[in-house]
Amino acid sequence: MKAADAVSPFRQRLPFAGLLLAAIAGILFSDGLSVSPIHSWITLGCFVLILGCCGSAGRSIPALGITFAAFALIHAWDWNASPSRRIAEWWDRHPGEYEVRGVVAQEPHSSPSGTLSFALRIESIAPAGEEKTIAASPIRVMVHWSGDAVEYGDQVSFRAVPSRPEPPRNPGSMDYPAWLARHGIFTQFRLDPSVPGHMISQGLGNPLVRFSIMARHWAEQILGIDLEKPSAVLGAIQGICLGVTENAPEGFTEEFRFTGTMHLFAVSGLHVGMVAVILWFFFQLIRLPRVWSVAASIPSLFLYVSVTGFKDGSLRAATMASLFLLGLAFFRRSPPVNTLAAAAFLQLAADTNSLFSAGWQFSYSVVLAILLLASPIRHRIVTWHCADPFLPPRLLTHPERIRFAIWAEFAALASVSFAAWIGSLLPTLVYFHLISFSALGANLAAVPLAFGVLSLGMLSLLTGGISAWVAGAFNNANWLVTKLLLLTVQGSALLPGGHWFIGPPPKPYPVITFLDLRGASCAVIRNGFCTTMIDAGRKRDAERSILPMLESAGVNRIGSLLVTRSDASHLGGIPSLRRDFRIRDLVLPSDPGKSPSARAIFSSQVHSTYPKSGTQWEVSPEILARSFLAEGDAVTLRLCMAGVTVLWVTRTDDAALAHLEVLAPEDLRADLVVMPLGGARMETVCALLRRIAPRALITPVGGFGRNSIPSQEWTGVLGDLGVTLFRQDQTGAVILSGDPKNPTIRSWLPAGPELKLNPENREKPGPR
Amino acid sequence: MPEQSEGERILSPMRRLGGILLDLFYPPHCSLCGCRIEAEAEGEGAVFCEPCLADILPPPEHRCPLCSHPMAGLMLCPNCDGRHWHLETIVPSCRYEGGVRGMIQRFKYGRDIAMARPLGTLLLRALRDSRLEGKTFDAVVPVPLHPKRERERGFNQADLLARLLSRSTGIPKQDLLKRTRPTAQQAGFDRSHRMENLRGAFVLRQQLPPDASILLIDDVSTTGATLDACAAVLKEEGAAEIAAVVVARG
Repeated sequence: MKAADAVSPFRQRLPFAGLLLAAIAGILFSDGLSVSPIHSWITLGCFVLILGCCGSAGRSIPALGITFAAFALIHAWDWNASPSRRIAEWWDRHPGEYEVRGVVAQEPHSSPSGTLSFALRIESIAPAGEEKTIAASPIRVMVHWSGDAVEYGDQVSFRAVPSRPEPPRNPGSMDYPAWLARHGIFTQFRLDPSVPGHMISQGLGNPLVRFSIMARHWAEQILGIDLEKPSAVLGAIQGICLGVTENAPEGFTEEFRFTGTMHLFAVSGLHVGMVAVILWFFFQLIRLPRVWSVAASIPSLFLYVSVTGFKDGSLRAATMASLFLLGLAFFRRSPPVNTLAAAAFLQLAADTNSLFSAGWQFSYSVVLAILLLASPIRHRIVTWHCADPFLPPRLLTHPERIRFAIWAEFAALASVSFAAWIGSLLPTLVYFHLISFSALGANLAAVPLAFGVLSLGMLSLLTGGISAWVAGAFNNANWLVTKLLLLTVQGSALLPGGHWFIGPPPKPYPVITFLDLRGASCAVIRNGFCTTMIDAGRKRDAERSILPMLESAGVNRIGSLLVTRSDASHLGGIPSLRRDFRIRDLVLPSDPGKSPSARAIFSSQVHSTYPKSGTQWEVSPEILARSFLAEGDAVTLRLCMAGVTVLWVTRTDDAALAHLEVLAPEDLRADLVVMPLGGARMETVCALLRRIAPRALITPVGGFGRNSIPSQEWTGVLGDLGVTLFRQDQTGAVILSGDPKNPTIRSWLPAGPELKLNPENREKPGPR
Repeated sequence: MPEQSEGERILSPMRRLGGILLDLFYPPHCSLCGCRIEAEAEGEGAVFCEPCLADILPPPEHRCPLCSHPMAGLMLCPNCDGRHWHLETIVPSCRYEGGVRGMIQRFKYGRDIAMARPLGTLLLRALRDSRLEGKTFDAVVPVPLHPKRERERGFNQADLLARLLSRSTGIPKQDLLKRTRPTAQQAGFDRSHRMENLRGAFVLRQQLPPDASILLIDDVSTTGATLDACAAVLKEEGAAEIAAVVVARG
């Protein structure tokens, strides 16, 4: 006899699958209307086509149509016409300072610099110094707080200027405004420390959320008893048991990402399923009737979900577990695919923007793949090594039985792992730009170990309230299991070819991306599949901007990394780059300079030095480099590629520029100059630029220090020289396309200028 | 057509909505093969597809009128031979083989509580048997499990079946019996061992109505020893008539 879940889903009745499809189509239709109507009509066309293909859906068309229309309307209200969006647009037209009062709507997040950020539910807004209130509706904004420490549920007031969240400044960086917008936030307030905000009252938030936050902090403390803080082990334990990764060391999750085991930190179905089993057995133990056990288990599950922060995966699992438990009360069982679709439908009904969340997409695609594929894959694996089906089982020897049983268990684990890998393939490619082959093996070992970590964590939490000593004992045991897990993951991440970054196909001509690192320096040259880099920025720049850019471009190895100056803002990111990529040739200046981080890198990294000053060499096919001033801690580079010449001047002090003045004009001539103008003497630089005769100049702009911000006069001065200025505080990254037919320099941010380097366009620089 | 009361008029659409929601979240599917079933289907058609329903075999035509033991080519029932029964008859719905056997095993040993509904639906078949025609019963009584076994299993399968039968027929379910000691599982014992195993295992939990007519419920009957032990207790306490229905006869 077959179980209902062993039957092909095509032979099952799955009413929620159709409704979910209609809901998704409705949301995409409504969402597309705000982008371009053509998207909406394409969505509608696809939906009708699918309906047409499903002959049996004929009778359900009215229900599907109503669902489509209802979700399109809900999403239109949630997204296109939300009060938060409308007031953000009003603020765009009415800039100025406003007096704001509201309630902290989420647990404040502390940045490394100590600034608290949180979403605020606004109660009233008034222009500064005026009495009248212009809005009093449930609007959410992001606040970068300055003032007394605040918690969830505190009522606060402050005076600040509203602004739009900053868009990503480099390719590959996270689109923070888009992420905030999907959470109903379109405006941010950055408080001036000289005018701090005030707390008016406390305890106004949702009591359940307040309790959940309190419970989470308590659980974090219990799980940390007797363990080193902060550490990778504690980070992993808290991540697996509570989904909290904020306290983990920076870069800690990278190996989990590369090995496709990131889901262990997502408080997924594994966690919720285990909690559901524990709860069910507990209620049965105290002899609670079945219906009451169901009634008690469901709220308890959602309490756990709220303690772990309402993650998409845990919400999905809790909804599925609740439907399964309700089925026990009604003597009913649903096909698992229908239950999955029902959970997705309910989650979308609660928040239509969930559809665009990476967590939602990961969670549902992985579970769907497991439900559809794990069983046939397991069957196939089992048949590779199983007893002859015509042989009576009693004729098997004991070792044979054990061998076949172990193989069957392995097949079950491997099939789930393989199915989950297939399910996560597309979202991993879209969001992480990689395919992880090591995920197949890593999950086989990591999932049972994570189950052990979760079990020991649960035991620690259960006993922590009674005895800290017992909880400590469990934590120490957990330390060992977690260490094993980390070793497994780290070992898998080191496997050659274990993961592969996939990006868009490279252009047939060289492209240089000058990253905006707020004063630090880094450029990535892509020439076909060859990648060359100039400078590596600071350590945090590498983690936040350089690595995401390289990964999104599908870079898997770096040919040459040329460092133009021995200081932390030019080579601080090398260790991070070396951790994630193979660098064939690291070229450093001859002098390590005075910077401690530079000295550390000079002594720890295998490297070569620049050739003799003025020598030309090929850094990658069709890209020629020439270095000057190679005897000091700074180097000036001249790159020639596809008819475009770039001069990279790393220092603009008088001594460094004096070295350039002695060079012949043909050695200096360049179409583009990269040079920090902050703190540079205008006369000296202008004199040099007259000799170089560039068409454009890119200047990095730092966030701190007077010398790192060039004056506004430069735009006019350079305009007189016929040079288009790309200030990176206005342009973000700058991209030079070396297309022989149409070489262009363009800004990453839409407001920045664009310059075509063709002779006929020489006189037409200007903003896009 | 009788007029609906005010309460019924309010409750009726709510019940219909509840039914629609139940069918959405728990769409009807065949309990044997798992394939889809038409949402409008009723009775056995709401829990089994047509091919599977055809595979559920009714008890053999030539059977003992008392214990339903197959009697093809026999004059005397080997199961009843020399035995004094306390109940009138044991009526099974179908044979204990194929899909039904798998369902009962999943229900009892796999703790798959969702099997209660299809097995309860099958049980209704037994009530249409000619031996129970024209009879009325005062109570539906499930064969009890020992509390320890019930805790292990999480439920008493006979109790769930009796509850469903009571809901369908309107005959009140009464837990009249109690198992006083844990008995070894009957499966694997012969007739005499089964009877020995059950001696003094059941007692009455509450007073019987005078001259009560009782319908005993269990999932499977093989020799009928358990049902007869229960009937003996009920008879001793004054029950006038006792019949038993089971899902399948082993």
